[in-house]
Amino acid sequence: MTPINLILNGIAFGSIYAAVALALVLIWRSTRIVNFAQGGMLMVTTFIAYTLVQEHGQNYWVGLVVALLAGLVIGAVVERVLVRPVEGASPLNAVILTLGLLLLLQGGAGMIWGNGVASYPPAFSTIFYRVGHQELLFSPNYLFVVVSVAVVVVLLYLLFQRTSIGLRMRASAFSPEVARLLGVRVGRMLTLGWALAAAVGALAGVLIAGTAPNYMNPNGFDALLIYGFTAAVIGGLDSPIGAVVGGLLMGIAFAFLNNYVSVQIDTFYALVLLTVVLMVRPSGLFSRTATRRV
Amino acid sequence: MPGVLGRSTLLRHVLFAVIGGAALFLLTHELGEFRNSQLANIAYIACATAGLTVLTGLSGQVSIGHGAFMFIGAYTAALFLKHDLAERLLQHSGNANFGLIIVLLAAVLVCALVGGVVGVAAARLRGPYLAGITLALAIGIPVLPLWSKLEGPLGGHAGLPVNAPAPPTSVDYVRFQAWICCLSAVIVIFLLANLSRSRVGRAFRAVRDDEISASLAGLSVARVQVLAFVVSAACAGLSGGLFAIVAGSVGPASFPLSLSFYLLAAIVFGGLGSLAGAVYGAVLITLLPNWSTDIANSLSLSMRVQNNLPLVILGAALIVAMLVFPSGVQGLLRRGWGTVARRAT
Amino acid sequence: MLELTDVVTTYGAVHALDGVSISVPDGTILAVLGANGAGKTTLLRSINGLVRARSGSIRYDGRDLLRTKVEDVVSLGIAHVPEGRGVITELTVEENLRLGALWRGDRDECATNLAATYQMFPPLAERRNKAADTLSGGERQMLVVGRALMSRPKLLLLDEPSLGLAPRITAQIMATLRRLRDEQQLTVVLVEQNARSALSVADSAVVLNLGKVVAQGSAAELAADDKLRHAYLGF
Repeated sequence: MTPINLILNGIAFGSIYAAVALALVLIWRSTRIVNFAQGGMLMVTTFIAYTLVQEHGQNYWVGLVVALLAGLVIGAVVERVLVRPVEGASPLNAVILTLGLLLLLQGGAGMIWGNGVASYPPAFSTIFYRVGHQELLFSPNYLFVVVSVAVVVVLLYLLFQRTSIGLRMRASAFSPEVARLLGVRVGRMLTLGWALAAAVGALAGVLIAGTAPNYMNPNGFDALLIYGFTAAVIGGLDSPIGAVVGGLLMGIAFAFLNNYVSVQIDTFYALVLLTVVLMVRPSGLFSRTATRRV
Repeated sequence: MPGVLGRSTLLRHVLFAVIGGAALFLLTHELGEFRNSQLANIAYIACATAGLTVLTGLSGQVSIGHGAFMFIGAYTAALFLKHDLAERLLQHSGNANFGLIIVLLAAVLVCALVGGVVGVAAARLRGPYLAGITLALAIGIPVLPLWSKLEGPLGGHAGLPVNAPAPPTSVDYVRFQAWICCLSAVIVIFLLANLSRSRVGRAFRAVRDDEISASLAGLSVARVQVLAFVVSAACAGLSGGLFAIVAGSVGPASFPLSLSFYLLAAIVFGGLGSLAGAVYGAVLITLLPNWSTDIANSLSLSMRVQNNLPLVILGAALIVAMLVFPSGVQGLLRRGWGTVARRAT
Repeated sequence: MLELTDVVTTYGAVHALDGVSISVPDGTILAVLGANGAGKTTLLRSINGLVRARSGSIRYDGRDLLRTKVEDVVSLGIAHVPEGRGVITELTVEENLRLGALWRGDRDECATNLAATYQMFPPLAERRNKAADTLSGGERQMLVVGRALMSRPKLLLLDEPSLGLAPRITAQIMATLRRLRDEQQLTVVLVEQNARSALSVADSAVVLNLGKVVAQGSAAELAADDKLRHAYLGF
């Protein structure tokens, strides 16, 4: 397997890890909580899309749009109802709360859709491109994966940097008390942050379900949370750019490791990567320094 | 290691241990096979939850990854038995039960070692970072047998069979397993209770409550935290070893992520604060699948719903617990293990 | 007109404000003086609702501030520059300023206000697209005052603006406040440790000690009262 192929493959999967990492970073920045239920939330939205597409014959795009909308709703509801009460309290409360939510979502999904592995269609053809005689480890579907995540990243960037609602959201995340003094409805901004994050996660869920086998069951997305978390930590939990870079780097690293070491043990690689990063540079590649000064 | 322990406390613990052990021994003779195997289950889970409550409740470090330590303990035991390492160590094929002790001890020591390594890595981490790395542990370690290089020795997907030594003749097999597990649980709880009351236990509490004060008072925060990991990992290792013997085989599928969640849920509900709570929690998560099956049957619910009912119940209960308890985790901690009385300076 | 009547604010068992009554007519500058812990910051935070008064009443232009949410206070025409300034360092200078006008939602008005602010504080114009954490202390003070003014307030609450600033810059800020009072009838409640400079710009003053008002009157009166100055104001 040539390095180019490995890199291409890595970028495709890395984009998905980047999307999950981005979702985690958005939530961390606004509410200082690691959303351990992220994998569960995107699992549910993907299953909702699955119901429409595989059981009711809707086309792929309807499924995707519904998944994104479902993500917005789930994110908003979870923040407002479950997370808001523990937002100021000890971090351990939020950890246990999000874990409880994960269990609930997995159990609930198992009740509704069963625990078997289902299949989800890809967006486009999965036949690899050919350049001359060479086959690239890249298909139209992979291209769609990379492009859709890139589009989302750009849209989020524009939202946060160029709109007044984005300004309000950033102010709410950086200095909630000052923002309130300036008339920003901080609570609503936090809810919006979670809603957007869940929608980004929903995209990642649909993408990976159609791209990799064995994901489509209630427990299948657990690993994705770890990949996203590791990517976010690599980039710096505070940094959206870091999340994207971290995800891409991880995707490429996995591609090489899968090729030269072994397949099937990606979660072990994630564990090793995470440990190394936390030992060597815990604040990540792109984080700003710890304290905020005023 | 326990340090200075009041003689009356030690005596009281010994008394409880002896009485508890005797009571359990009698109990195993009263119960039938099914109940005895449940008892064995509860007992080895209690070893793990007791260790976890020391780590999370007493020492304040959350771990969602103890399933990984159980995995390591179970596979260590399985490998020892597979290669007859115990016999070779003892250098005579004498009493098979000594062999059993060696096997379990191996599981404990290997896990203690790994726990130390993890503890060193984790000592610098706080809150969600610590939770995240232990979560990665829970998912990342049990896939190791799938590594192509390790598939041979570790049995890949199918796992390894466990050839537990036969019990002394005329003893019912399941009763024997229940008895070993109960004995182990009693010993673990006895040791941990002593630990908790000792100088080491006070050090754990001090670091949990206020790291800065603790280090100003001369405690090495990192060393204390690593020690807590070592102790709790050792307990989980013992639990894994016992599991291997009771289950008769070990494989990656026996150690899913939900196992680690169940352990954490057990101590949250048992009361993050005490060893007794760890036991209640062990009872809870062991019997919950049975209870929910009964509920499901009486309501004629489908297989799907039945299988997932424990998950839904636990998840909902954890959420409700965090929302309803105003002081959440801190409140549970204070009620259980208590805080260290601050000395006036 | 800002009116506080018998306001009691507690933190747990501590009475940070213990029955404070003050009125501030429109278009005047009130200096709130006193030692550390006297309750000055709590006074401002109670007006805004960052901390809720336990009893008493706080009214502005007839509106009951005790029933108003923190986020809504700015729409009543009250701007608050908090203790520690509240510069959002992760944002640029211009973003900080725009944030001040956001609640109005009117883009044209925001642009006009922005231009006016840059005219008032030229150093901010020079650094408009730089991150706010690159500003010096004096520039940060200008930034937060400018940001507060972006919302076109009628009442400005300032908590220790001179903290950590060189006397020249403090004087500049005080002069700006005076000008705004004269030109726009801006009402200012100015909390200060530096009593001398506060009294030089204020119309009236109030001295707090342990949550109670121990002296009240025109700035000139209080400045002339030697005993008072020695006891509470440190000069």
